[in-house]
Amino acid sequence: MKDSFFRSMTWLHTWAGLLVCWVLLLIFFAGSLSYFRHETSLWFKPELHAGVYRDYRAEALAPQVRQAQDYLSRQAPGARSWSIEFPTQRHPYLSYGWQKPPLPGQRRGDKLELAVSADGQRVISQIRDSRGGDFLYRLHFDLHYLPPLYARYLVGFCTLFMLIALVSGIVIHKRIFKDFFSFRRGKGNRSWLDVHNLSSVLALPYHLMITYSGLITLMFIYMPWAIQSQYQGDRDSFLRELNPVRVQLAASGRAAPLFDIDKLLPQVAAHWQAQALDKIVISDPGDEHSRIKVYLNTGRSITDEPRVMVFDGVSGDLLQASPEQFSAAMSTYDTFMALHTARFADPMLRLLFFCCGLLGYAMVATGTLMWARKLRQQEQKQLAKGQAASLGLRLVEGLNLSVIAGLPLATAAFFYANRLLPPGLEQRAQWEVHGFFIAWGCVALTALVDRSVNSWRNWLLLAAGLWGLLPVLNALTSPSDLLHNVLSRQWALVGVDLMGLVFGCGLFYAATKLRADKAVWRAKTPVPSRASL
Amino acid sequence: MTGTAIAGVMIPALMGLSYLGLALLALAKFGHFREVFARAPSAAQSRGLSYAGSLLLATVFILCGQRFGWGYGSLVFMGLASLSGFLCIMNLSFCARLMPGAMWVTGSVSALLALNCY
Amino acid sequence: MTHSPDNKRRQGCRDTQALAAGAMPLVARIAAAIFGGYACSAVFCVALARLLPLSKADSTLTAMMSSFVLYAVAVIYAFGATSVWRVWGLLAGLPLLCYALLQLLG
Repeated sequence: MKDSFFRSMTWLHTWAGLLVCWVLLLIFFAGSLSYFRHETSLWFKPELHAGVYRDYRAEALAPQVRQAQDYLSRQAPGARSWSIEFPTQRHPYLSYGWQKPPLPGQRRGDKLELAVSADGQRVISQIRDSRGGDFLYRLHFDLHYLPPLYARYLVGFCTLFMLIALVSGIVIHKRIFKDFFSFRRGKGNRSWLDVHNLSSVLALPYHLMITYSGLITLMFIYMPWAIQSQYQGDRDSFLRELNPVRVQLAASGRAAPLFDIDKLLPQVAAHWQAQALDKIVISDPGDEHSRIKVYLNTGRSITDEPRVMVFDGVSGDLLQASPEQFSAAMSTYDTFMALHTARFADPMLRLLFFCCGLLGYAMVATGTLMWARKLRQQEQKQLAKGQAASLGLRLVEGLNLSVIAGLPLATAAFFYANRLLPPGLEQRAQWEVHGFFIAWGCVALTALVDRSVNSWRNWLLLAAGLWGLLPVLNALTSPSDLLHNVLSRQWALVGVDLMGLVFGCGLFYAATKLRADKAVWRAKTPVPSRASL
Repeated sequence: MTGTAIAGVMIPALMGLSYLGLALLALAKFGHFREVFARAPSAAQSRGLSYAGSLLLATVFILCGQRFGWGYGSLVFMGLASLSGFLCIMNLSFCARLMPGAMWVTGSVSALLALNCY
Repeated sequence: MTHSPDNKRRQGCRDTQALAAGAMPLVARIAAAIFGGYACSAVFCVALARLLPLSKADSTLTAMMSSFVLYAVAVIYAFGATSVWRVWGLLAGLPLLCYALLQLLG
């Protein structure tokens, strides 16, 4: 294409990256925050911050299960499914839940989850309706306000382009090891390029892994052709062959009493050598075809497939158990899924994944910021003469401001909406999400008219303030504040507050750095208010 | 030491050692050596530093593998290497002259902590 | 585009402006990369699922997981190769050929 392969790859890297960078920024940001999905969801439910049952004790399982079955059969006898979730590190409370029947227009009913109080006697039912971390998780592949299938196609398209940008980037960055540690400060475009290279190379294995595994998580949508040809499109039978516990049976409509679940616990303990359990899900309780599925807590093993024992709900017979070993292909798939979702990771490793995700965000952001700088420098002469900026420049600078400054602000607004909206508000969970997009929209609207350094600085400072004050918000609007959480060792909640402080400091630092850049631009551009990064 | 205490001490120790290893690799490069020591490195010094750095990083990898299992340990290693790489680069850009001192301190503290756990 | 002298083209966006003059080859490459690449990886997916000596489920899974590598390679090839005709020939012809072969095999 070009006179050399190298030049073609440079062109490809630039344009593959630019075409999808703003969607990628959303994916990286929401995805990185999703590593702390359950911690965020817990933070979003202040009713669970104090006075809930938190310890996992093997000897208490049987009475808890008996109490749960009793409670659920009184409260939700006709539900599609029941769940009993035991306290784990990421879900540090005991909960009973059920799935309501679907409303017209819904494919599946909403799930309701109630926590058990610390003394084990009461059930806490007044928990505010909020999607919490699940919103951010879904945002990074289902986007929002779009039908999920189209959103996933869009995300897949962007992920493929990300992969192309990574591969072409590796090809063009010939001096990967020579320049590995270089970061030349204060040198304009060279400094930005150094940060771009740094954030890419420091976490390169992570970037390659997360991109490729991202494609694999949704490969049933992107590359279904093998299933088409081998299984005539019957995805369910394919999945069953891979993992026999995925058998689903529709409700028969005939009533039959549910087996006593606690009587199954000794058999479960024997099969799994008394390892900790994650949860018990009962599908179609009270029906002839009910199933009791007991899930193992797989802890830190690098696996994403659930380890389940499936019992018949009426007779209590063991129907299926997850295989001890998966085939090589299935293990590979399982490992890819596990590496992408990092559900197995303990807090320290999870934090490392999170930092790598933010490095990915920095990588994409520096790329597009460099491009905006380049465009502006190319149009210097026209701008100096007083001509308006080209559409390309306005578009790139506007999108940069909306997305790079807007996302942190919108997420902060989401957190604040959770605490400030009244708990009894109708459709509360949706309004929290609308709050995210309303805040983002405000930034985008102002970016239409004002893309100057001042605008950047104001939005970054606002976001910094909101994030930095997150622990204060938590203290004021929840029964437990940062100090209490440290003392009671609720590290999930401590982590969210600390993350707020760190984000606040980081954004504040970025905002202050902008002043320095502004001075540089003022010298070059006679219209300082239109200067930008 | 108890299990959790060992884990708590092990991570900073491993991170310090990987910082040291990456710092040695950085100093093996002409430009960075000159930034820190205000003179050019000889070819032998360069080679020696790069071997020492690689050896140290390999050691950290093996320690991670032994402590956490090879699968989990590889992930921990890569995460620690990225994070300490970042610290190394910040050190070189903002306070390059302090690097030798930082290397001595982190190196000795980490080595002591690591030896304590084994 | 492949005919302009090298020293006039320096920066990415000026390249693109020059490319607009010879836009056809670029559009052809983009089409080949996106659609031809997908066709190649889809056919590769089906072929590998059929031909791998593993169990049906395992070979299907392996085929699906590996297909994206081929897609990435196809896109790199589409932009890296010198001749646009060869690019189209390979990325359109290969899937058609393989599909025909697979149909013959049954």
